[in-house]
Amino acid sequence: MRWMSSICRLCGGLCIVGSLAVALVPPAHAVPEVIKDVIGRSVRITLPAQRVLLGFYIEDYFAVGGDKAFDRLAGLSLGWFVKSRPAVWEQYVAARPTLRDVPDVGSVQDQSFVVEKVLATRPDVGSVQDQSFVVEKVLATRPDVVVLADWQFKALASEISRLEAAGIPVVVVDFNAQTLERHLDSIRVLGQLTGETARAQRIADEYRQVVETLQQRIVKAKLPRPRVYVELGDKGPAEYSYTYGKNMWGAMVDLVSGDNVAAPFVKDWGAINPEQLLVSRPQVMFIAGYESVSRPDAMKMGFGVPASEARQRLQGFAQRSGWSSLPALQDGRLHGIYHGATRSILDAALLQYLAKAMYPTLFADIDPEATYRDFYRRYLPIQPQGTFMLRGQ
Amino acid sequence: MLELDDLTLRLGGQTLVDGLNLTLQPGQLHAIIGPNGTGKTSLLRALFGELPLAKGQIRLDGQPMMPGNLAVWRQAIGYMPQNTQLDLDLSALEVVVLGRLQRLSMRLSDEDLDAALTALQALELSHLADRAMHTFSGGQRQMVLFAQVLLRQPRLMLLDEPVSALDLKHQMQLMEHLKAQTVDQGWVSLAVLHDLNLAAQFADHLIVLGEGRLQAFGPPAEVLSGELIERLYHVPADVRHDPDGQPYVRTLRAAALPG
Amino acid sequence: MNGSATVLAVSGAEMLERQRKREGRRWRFLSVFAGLIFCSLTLDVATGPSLLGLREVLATLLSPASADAMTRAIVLDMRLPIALMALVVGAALGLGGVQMQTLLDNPLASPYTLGLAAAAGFGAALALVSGGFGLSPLLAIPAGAFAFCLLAAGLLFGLALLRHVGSQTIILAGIALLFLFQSLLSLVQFLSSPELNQQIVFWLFGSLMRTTWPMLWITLAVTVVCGVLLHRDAWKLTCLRLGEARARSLGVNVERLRLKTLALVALMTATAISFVGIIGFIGLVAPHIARMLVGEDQRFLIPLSALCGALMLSTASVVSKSIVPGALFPIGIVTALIGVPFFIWLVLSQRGRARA
Repeated sequence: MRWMSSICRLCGGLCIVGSLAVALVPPAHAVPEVIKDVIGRSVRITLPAQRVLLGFYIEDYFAVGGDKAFDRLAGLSLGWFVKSRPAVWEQYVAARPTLRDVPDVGSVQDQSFVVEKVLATRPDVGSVQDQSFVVEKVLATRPDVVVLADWQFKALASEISRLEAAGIPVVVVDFNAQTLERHLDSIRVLGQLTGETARAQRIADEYRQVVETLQQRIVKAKLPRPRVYVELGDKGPAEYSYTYGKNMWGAMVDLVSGDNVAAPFVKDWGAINPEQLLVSRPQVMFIAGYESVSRPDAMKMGFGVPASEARQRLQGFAQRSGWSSLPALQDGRLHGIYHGATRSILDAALLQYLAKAMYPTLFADIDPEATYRDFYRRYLPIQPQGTFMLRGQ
Repeated sequence: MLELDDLTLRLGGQTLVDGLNLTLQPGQLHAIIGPNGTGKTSLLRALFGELPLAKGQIRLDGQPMMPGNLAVWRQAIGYMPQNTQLDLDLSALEVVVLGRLQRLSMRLSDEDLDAALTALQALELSHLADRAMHTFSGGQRQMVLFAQVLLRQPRLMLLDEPVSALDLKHQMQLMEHLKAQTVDQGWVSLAVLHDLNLAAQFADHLIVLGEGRLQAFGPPAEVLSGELIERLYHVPADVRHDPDGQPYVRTLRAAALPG
Repeated sequence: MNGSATVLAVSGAEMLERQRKREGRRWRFLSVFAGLIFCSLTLDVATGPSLLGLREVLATLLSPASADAMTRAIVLDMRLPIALMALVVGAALGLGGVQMQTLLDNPLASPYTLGLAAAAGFGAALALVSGGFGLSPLLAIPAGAFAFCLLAAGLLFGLALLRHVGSQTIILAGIALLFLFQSLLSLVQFLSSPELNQQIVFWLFGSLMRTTWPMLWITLAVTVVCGVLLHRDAWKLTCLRLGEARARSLGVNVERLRLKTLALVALMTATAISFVGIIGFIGLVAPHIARMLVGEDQRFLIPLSALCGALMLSTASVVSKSIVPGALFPIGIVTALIGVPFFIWLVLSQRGRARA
């Protein structure tokens, strides 16, 4: 009886919201509204959503939703987040123990045993990537809304109609596109879902300001575009790993007017011919890393990573055959950079760092690390300790 | 000289040959005849050392066959098995020279090639020496393989149905050469033959196998009889004799049904 | 009588002459291919995204100190080992192919059709997915591929040890292994994330790009040693071409020959595949080309198959670098795309051969 469960849910929602009405939040609406998600779909939903099932962008949801957002989770698809940044997740759980208390909806088939340990304690509905995301598990968590990334939406194409048929609206949010418009739009949608529209507006404005400052200064200065190379250093110096064309780091480099040397050869992401890299003679190079890497010489950056270790690993990359003669290395413009902050509102700090590394004369006054820490201080319950941006020298 | 002492062969639980006792003199061609499945091929394989003896012993020129040292035993034996594929891009000379496998070095010496050529010449095949095997007829191929065996200079010659697939001309040619070489080189030659008349023409003795034992041994004129053939093959036959005493077999078609 | 003896004698000498000439022709083929390989090697070293001229490349090869650091890095650290690896791996595959085809008397036999490559692929995928058992992936993936390749070879080995097991049975067992490991590989791919999947697939396509000098030396050493050991049995293998029964009758210990050959081929193939991934069709096609040129004389067929394989892979390497300059085009695809039509042409052109 779908209509019956919907009414139950509404009543439950009303009760919770009513009790929270004492707090500072504006009065919740009991009437469903229509919002537009980032890919233009019109979704009918009761706002703010009380039981949110997050497919992705967990940190962004927390940032926009604030304190209350943590208690309005029906389920999470942790996947990549926990696998590559487990320390971060632990910090969130330490700061908000309720994250552990949400009922368990079942085990997850994910091949990483690191994830297994952490997953035992909260309802993870499975990772969309490895086909363990099961609609049944989703339904069992009785969410009010399912929030998916654009790539998840596309991957789950056939399942979406099942969710909607079960009366669960699906909202799409997208930070992966790494464009200003999508970022701002996604912030707006998250704000609507959590009822924190004012806060979302503030965050969006700040984000826009950061990006536009960067772009305006660059345009005004009319300096030549430096040749840039970004690589995910997960395979260590011995093997050239992914570099980016149109998306991810490639899009970010483009946003701050860098000349991505991989762009002609790599469409979305893939490895470049090592010889081709030498031929391109990049002037600024970034090796991206995150916390949990399997190889002892892979690039490691992020929470809990000491700067000395990051620098040492970066140095390994500097020794690659032929690199010593590249302009980037001769001018000391090889950097380490945090992969975990991409595809999120937090990439504003990364964009600043990229711009500063590419146009040092224009951004002497900007402190990207401060931007990063500041955001955490103001909008999230944890503090980042570690290495996120590093100049190898 | 080949001596078989109380030879017993078993294969797959079945006794193929039981208590075979034979002494075969050099320079003589012996034909092994008998119905299918009576162990003719198995006997040859056992003589070659491929089939273990259930009982008994084999001696060649006084030397017994030792299962542990077959390589030595086989050096004295020339064995022509039933099916040999020769659809190959190798010249007749190159095939024949393999008869000297044990003495070949990486580079074919003139001596090796000479020996091969001589063997071919002995069989009047020298004009085929540099033609590729896959261009030969069945008969020519068999002759080339025979030349190969010649090269081994064996003392014991074992042939498994050497002429079954050949036309008349090549049948006679091979058998003639086999007989001539057997006498010239002093071989003990054993050939499994299906054609009783061919056996009668060329063999010095017939070794008749049937029902797991030796049914008869002796010169064809003495051994071959209609009664023997009927008993062995369950086919009525008539054995007549040439004016010079050579027997020839004439099989009879089944009598017309009564009524 | 005297006259015909003279005729015979003359014709005899002439026959020997002709045989020597035939062998001479075969030597010439070997030399020609060696020359072609040298050309291909030079071309391979001279091809790449950085448009270095031939003269500059040669100068760097001959006197490395005279070139600047980047050119040195490109030519000596990147291109040269890859180009040499192409030759060594191609030779190993050609050798493996001809031995398998001779041993199992089947023109379609190759280390791939017998499941050795599929087993190696599975081993590599396992290593990738399990994070390398704590070893660095640079070590773990070749180790995994090597281990499983040898495992499959060991299974075939054990089968060959049984009596009354003919070539056909071994081939069937090999095909069964092929399907087994391919299914297991598919299972691993199904269970892994898209990123791992992509890595597995890329490894499966084969790539010479990961070559380092140590890899090259190891592969070279193994290939040369195995090749020499295999060639020593050239005459016995030629006998084997006459059929097992015939070979036995000539005194060849077929079982021992089979085991020895299998072991050496497995070792050689496992080493090559574990470093470069799965590169197909070389082991299948190279022996056929060689056979068309020198026939079944294993003394020449074995080395020519190796040279043919080396030339094929070297050429494929040049082609794969030229198709999409700057990107990494998997060489396994090139060998398949070139190999298959070529193979079909081979097969069709042989249909008309006279068979008496």
